[in-house]
Amino acid sequence: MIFGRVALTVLCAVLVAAPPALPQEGSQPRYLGQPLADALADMQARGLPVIYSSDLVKPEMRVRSEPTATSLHRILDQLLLPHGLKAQVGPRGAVLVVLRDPEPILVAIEQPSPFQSVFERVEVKALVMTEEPIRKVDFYLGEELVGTLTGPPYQLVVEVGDENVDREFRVEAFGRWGGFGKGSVTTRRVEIEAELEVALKQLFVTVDRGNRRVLDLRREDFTVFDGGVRQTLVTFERGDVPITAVVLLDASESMKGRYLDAALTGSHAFLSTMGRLDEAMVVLFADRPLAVTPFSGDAAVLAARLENVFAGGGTALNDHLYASLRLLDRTQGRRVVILLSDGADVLSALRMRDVLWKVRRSDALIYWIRLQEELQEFSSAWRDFRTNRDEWQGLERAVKESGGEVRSLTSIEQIQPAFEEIMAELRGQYVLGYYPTTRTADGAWRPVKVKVDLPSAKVRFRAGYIDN
Amino acid sequence: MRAPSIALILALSLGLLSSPSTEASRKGKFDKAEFKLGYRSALDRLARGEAEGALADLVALESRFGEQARGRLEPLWKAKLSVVRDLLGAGAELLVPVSQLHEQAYLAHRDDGSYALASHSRGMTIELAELYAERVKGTHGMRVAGAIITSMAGHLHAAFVDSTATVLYQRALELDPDNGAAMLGLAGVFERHGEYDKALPVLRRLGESTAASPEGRLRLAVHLIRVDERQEAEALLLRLIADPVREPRWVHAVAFQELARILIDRDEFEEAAALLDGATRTLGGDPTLPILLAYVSDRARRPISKAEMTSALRAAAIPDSESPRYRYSRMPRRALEALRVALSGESAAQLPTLAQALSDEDVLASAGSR
Repeated sequence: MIFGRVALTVLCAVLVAAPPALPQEGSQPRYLGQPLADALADMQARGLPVIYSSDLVKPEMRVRSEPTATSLHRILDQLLLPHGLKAQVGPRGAVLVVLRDPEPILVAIEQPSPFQSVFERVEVKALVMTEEPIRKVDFYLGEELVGTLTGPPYQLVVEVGDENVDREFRVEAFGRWGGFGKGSVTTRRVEIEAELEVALKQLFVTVDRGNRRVLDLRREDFTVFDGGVRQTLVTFERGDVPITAVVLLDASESMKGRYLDAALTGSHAFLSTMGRLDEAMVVLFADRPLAVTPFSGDAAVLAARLENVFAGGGTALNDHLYASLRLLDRTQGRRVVILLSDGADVLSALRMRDVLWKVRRSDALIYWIRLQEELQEFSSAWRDFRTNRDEWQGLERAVKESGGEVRSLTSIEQIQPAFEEIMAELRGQYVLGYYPTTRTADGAWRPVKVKVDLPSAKVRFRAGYIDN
Repeated sequence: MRAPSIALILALSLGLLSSPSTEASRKGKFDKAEFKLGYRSALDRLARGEAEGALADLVALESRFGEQARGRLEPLWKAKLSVVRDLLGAGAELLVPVSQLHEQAYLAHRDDGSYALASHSRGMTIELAELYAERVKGTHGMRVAGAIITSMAGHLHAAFVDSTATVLYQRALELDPDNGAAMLGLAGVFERHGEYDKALPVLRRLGESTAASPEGRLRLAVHLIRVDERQEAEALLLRLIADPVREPRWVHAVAFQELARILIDRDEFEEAAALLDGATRTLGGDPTLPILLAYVSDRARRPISKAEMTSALRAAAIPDSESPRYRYSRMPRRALEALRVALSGESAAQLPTLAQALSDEDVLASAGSR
């Protein structure tokens, strides 16, 4: 081999060849779409002594982008670059077309940052810098390949689990010309002592006035009190914080037929309007789970897992509501449970007071789409009239304390609008963040109050939390 | 299989069963003789082992004549009892298959929405059971009569006709104090109404009877928790979980759950977690145990992972299954099924007696003349 990596099976000494008829200067485009060999011949005609092998410059190669440079050498570089070729000065001033040496590709991970502790679902954003076209970018979590992208943006949502551990994220980029680069970031586990000090409290606040949602408030319009002490807001966002939802649909005997159909249609209306980083799990339950989807941001994927499910059995609402809250632990963004049920719990081993224990330690909002306006008094094998009434009222209380809402419906036609309204509410929520000024970590209840500087505004938010 | 009785053939040849053309029918009056012939005809098919045909004939007959009697069903009642009494000479045991035919007629009328006729059939079934108890003295007679009444009570219990079911279960227990299905049923009705103080003595009595069962012990333990007699409940539950082989799986699962609840109520979360951890291993697929385990682990500050929670939920999503807690909330199905199987056997065994009675020409001949 001579001249580095030039393959000289057929060396085209085209210095003598007549230049082909290419578009003249001033008319655009001059080279775009033309055979690369013709463009090189034009270079030669303009006095640049270009020599190339037909092994490297093949007849099917076309100019991929119009050169913008003004000097011939630079134009030649721009013509060759997209094909993994470059110009190299040869003997006696000849300009040789040779293969580009693979150049290192610069890869940096923008997100997550090494200062973050990550759990559950993380969006990894990689910055890939090179002139070389990218063949693929592999994403690794530790040693496990978790995804591959072939074009920008190089962003991937990765499930990392909920263990409190250090995690290494690695991104490897491969160029079409053999270039390679990698970058990595290691996120750190949460130090428990540190967690107490830095825990950011987030409040999801809905503001209504009359029958309209108020969407144009500013940070200074809000005042937050935690344990009676006024707090300083450090973050202020609107409803674009990603949502992680569990859609919990009662599919017990009484939901048979059109009720279940309406519930599925309504939930689909919610799921299909999720944002790019939102995701949801759907659980159909009776006295047992009837269908459990994975968490996904794709409504079609979720719907596919819910086909051929038939309603039947009793209602174990408390057990499944607790499980939903547990599934939302340590997930990122806003956590929401949307419960649709036509009745109350009759079978659960957990009582509503157990669920309330969880609600007070969870940041999840609970919305209860209730297919009856008021409790119809009943007794059942597991609970008498009084206990059933207590459970019903306990659920109402849990929903209210979570900052969510009970939506009582009078007909199944209202199911879909109810789901749509909940999504609209979530989109219209204010997300207020603050670091509590006094933390006791004594397991005591800390009431929270949010005031809005707007006359006759109705403000809904989480009632408080257990300071653990 | 026995041929149709001579009396029946005679009756048919005389046109006594061709009701649409009779004078009484045309006038809309109840024709007792015609009804009795039709009833005998149904019993005859029953005696020949044609249970489905007999039922169809009886239901059709009752529907037709019930309409003729314009809803006043006492004439049907009297006519039937008249036929039955005429047959009793061959032995009161024939009342068992006849009562069973009426029980089936009750279900058929109920499913058709013919509630007056269903009520009539229900009454007939009980009346025949009482007649049986009166005629067949001794333990056997009481047991069989109690079983017939319990079976009917079970249908009412399932249909939420609880006040009548209660009366029937209680009557069955008067006849047969060891009737386990009746005790479970009666306690179940009380429980459904939150009357735990009434259910508890019934369940205690069941536990001391020869019909004591794991299901009965579980229900007793659940009631003891409700009246805050937790120590006794805990001992019972520990006995239940100690012998998993003998217990029905659902009873075993609920026993674990209730034992865990006792521990939870005492804030003994570590102990509850250890108990439930073992239970989830032996009773995989139970939907409640993993959720309880997740809860107590949460309380014990060592929460199980989200992946474990998800996979436990998925593992419990078994089509066409029912959870142990749902099973508990339903009828004492197993005890009732066992009782009905026994009754069915008794009924089949007495068909020859019924056949013998129907073949008595004197009885048959007299049927048309009354």
